Amino acid sequence: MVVEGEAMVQKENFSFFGDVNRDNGVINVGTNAGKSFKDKIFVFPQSKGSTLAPYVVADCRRNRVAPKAILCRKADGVVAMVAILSHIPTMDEFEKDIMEVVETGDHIRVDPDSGFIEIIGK
Amino acid sequence: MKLTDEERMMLEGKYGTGTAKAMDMVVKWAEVYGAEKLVNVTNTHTSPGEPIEWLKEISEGAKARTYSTVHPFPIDRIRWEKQGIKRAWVENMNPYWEECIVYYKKLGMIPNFTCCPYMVGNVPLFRSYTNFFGSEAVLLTNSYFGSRNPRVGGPACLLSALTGKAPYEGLMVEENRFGEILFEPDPALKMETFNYGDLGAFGYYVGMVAQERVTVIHGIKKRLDFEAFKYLTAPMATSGSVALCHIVGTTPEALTLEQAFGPRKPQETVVVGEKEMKEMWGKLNTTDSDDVDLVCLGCPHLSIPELKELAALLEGKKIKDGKRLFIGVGDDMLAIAKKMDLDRIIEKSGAMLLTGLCNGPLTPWDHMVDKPKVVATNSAKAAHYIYAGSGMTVDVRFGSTEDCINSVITGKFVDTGRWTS
Repeated sequence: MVVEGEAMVQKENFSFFGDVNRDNGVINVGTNAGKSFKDKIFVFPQSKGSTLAPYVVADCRRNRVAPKAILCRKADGVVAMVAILSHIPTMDEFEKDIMEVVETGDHIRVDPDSGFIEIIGK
Repeated sequence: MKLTDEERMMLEGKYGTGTAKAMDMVVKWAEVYGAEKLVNVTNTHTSPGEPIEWLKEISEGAKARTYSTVHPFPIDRIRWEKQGIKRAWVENMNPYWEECIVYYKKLGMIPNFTCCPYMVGNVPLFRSYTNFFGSEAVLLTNSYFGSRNPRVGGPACLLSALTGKAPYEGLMVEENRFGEILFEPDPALKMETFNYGDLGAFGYYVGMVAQERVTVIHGIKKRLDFEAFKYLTAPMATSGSVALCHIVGTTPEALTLEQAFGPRKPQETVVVGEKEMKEMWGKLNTTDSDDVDLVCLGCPHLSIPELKELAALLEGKKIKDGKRLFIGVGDDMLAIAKKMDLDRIIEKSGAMLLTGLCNGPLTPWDHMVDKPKVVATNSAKAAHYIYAGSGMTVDVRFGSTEDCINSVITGKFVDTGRWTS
């Protein structure tokens, strides 16, 4: 599944439980405090905290406020299960450091099957 | 990936359509990590709520193939009125929970709603494969019991329950279990004298620095009991995502420092001293108000030794009017406590024993009749999630069990600890 959208880069490790409101997708800590990840290509270094994450994202999806795709340095099992349960295209372990390459606001094309992402517009 | 005949038959639907769907997801999960095979999981612990359509689908013709227990809900479903949760919210949520419970019973899972299932029968054996839900349960099974438990999101635990399988990857593999980062307490801390609050602050720091790495702690001059271990490790999966923490002299894969690291060398050695303890204490205390409305204990759920301690602290005392003390335990643990009359001593003080709930971290603060302004707790994990989970609308006082309890008896929180400057 190829998706396109605007990147939102969270510089800190992220917990889907506690760090985001599942009703509106608004993040409450760090780089994007006060902004919603709804329909964004959500980029963060790695996950932390509660293993409730897949349920939080499933709720976000039901409330139509989930991100379009997830990109991170390394997806642990919690992020993998977020992707599998909510069918959210998710990629990790890029050749270059994803946290260096992508900036908030970049327009990105995510193609998990090919294994590439493309920055279409800065 | 190689599948056994049994696994292939599960995938092909010979064990029902639900099992086939669950197996398909296990295979996808295995493919994400390039696992070469699946392993047999004996014990699981799963979330009390799954997306209902999904639960319905994978339950079709399925059954639990492991010893399987269920995690707590956000509220006490029996005593919610006493807990002060608004009726409208409970009536809105209850049908969904009830529906989930029907499936759990049908699947042959034990719906005991505790975050410490190993205290009431679901005991992982050393070197067995398990899949427990809950960031703290992951740490405990891996570290204290030495079972092989992946750190993976909730739904995966149900997949393992229904198939009895998990991918052979990550912490399931022996060679991935050796230490990566070493923490040493500054001897001046006298860590062996730490109370639960002190241990939590220490663990909160460890998690922040270690993040996902296999953690080793060396230099604690006594063997930690189960309770101390709980308070020390739970926050490591709150400020970080530690899934395995070896404590030299306590945990089974760390009889010695050499054993804990095996062929690996520590990437970093971190000394934790007074400065770090004070910094964490400051973070976990989000306010300096001494006017505490509510004390939350029982994150993770309390054991009999802890309930005995509470009974001793509360015997003959009275909780001040307008103040509340909520104590979270599993139903089965309360049944044992009743046999010892501990419940009577504790509740005579005005404290409330609540069961089947995640007391603090999951409390629906905005749906309380009388939402507290300041909550005190002895659990660093609870302190973090009460503040974050309430959208920073509930402030936290963090301290020892005694300081928390005294705050609702005297009406004033006095920090008798060593970490306030």
